[in-house]
Amino acid sequence: MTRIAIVDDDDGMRRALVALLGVGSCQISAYATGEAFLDAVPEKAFDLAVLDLRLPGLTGLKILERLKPFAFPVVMISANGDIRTAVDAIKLGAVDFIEKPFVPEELEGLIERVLRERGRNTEPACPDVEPEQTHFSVLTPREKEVAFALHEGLTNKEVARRLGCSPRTIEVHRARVFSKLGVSNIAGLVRMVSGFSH
Amino acid sequence: MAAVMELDSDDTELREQLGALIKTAVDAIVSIDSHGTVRLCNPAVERLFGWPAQDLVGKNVSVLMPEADAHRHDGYLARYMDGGDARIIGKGRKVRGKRYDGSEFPLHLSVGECTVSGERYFVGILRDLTAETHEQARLQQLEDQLALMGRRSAVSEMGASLAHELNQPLTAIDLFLTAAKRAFPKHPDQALALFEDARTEAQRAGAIVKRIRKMVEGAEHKRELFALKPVIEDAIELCRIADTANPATFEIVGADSVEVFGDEVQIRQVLVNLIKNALEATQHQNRRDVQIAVARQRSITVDVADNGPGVDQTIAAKLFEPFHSTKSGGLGIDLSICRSIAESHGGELLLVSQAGLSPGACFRLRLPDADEEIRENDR
Repeated sequence: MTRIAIVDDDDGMRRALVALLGVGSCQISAYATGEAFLDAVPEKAFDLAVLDLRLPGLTGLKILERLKPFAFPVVMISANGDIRTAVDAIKLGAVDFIEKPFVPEELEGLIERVLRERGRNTEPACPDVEPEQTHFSVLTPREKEVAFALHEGLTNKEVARRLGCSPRTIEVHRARVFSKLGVSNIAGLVRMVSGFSH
Repeated sequence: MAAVMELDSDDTELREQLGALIKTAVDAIVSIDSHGTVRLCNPAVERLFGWPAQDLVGKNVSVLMPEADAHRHDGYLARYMDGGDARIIGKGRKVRGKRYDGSEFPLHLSVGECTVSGERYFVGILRDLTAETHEQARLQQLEDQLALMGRRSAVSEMGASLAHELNQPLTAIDLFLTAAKRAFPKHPDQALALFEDARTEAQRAGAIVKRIRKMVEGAEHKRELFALKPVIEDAIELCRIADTANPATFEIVGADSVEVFGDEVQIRQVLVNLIKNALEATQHQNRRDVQIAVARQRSITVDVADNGPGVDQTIAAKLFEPFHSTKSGGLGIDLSICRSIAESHGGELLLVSQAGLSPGACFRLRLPDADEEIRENDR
């Protein structure tokens, strides 16, 4: 049985997540605060945690910092547009994030993928896996600039301003970067670049 | 002049001067006896009321009043003659007048009393307030428009996060419905409960939209008695959902059963701005406290305090001036609009240093106590 922890201070969201994920063969524990969640971590042996980035008291990022000794993957739920925090979360070891609003299938797909990858690889899903440098050599200098700017958590618009081109151009670069590196989203890119730059 | 009062003096020059004084006065002057009969009036009466001066003399002065007042006037007069309290004599008051053609208009009336040859007279001086009232209405309209602009600017600044707040219930609805759909074949009871959950979330989304609408809609200017606490709670809720930083802790102190007389929409707007500022001041802190303390002592004070770094001395001096924002984005007119709202309610808005949390900033909205005002008016 898969043990999943849900941490969200919003009553409606928390109960909805429990209702959705609790139907299958998962055992769900839900927490309204990071403190309650961290208290439960040592004894519960979670397989995965779904963590809201915005929490009262201990924030999602603080929780990630304290979770470091534990090896289960953490999926973050972020506010729409709060890419910077989401990127910081990836740098702190979260495997991926999903932006609100999302449809149930997106979250379920993400959880399934994370659990499957984890089944294959027992290494902690942290950025300390050394990626092959050759990955980045496939990028043009411009694409590298774009990749590093996105890794900083800049939005397309901000990257465009920094590099002095149109957001549309950045979108094209971004799509190329993703496909060349074989990542599907910003989270994958950040994981890869973090490993690279460490 | 329709009639000339008997003067003790034989001095014709003085008589003429007195006559000219009354004749040329811009304000209407009407003298009545103890029965309310007009004994004397000046030409200005004709201009103001359209009554031929000579026709008015000998009539009851109540012909110059709207129906409701006209009925009561004889009673007022009789009661005063019996030694009752003066309601209008010795002081001025805004009243409504009725013209010859029946139309009504606002005027200021002051009444003095005198005794001539043993008979008591009351002399009323009446000034037409039509132009002033128009001016005031126009001013009021401009103030309302400015306040509305302020509300809209507050909401547009919050825009993105308000949209995000709607994502919360909308995502939850989708999750509940998906779970319900899956549960339905085998556990219809469970599905029913999940439908109920989805409804609750839909209502929550509706409540958020309603709250936003309350801020952006141009409410008609109105003054009414309203409970303060729900307005504070509303303002907190609106600011809370627009706040993207680490959630803050709110505390409301002493607001139970406090009522305010004024424009609810505008008072909410002032509170939204003050709370929004408190949240902005503390946005980089781990611990964020916002306290709204209400006190009632002759007037009502609402202190909005935060545990942020406080307001810098150099900024404090210019805080309420328009276009002096230290923040990027926004016109910096919000606090000056808030202050004008407070003042139009007969109150004030201040930055107070000896109150609130320490360290931190504390803004005080002071409003007149509704009960005090009622007592004042009844006097």
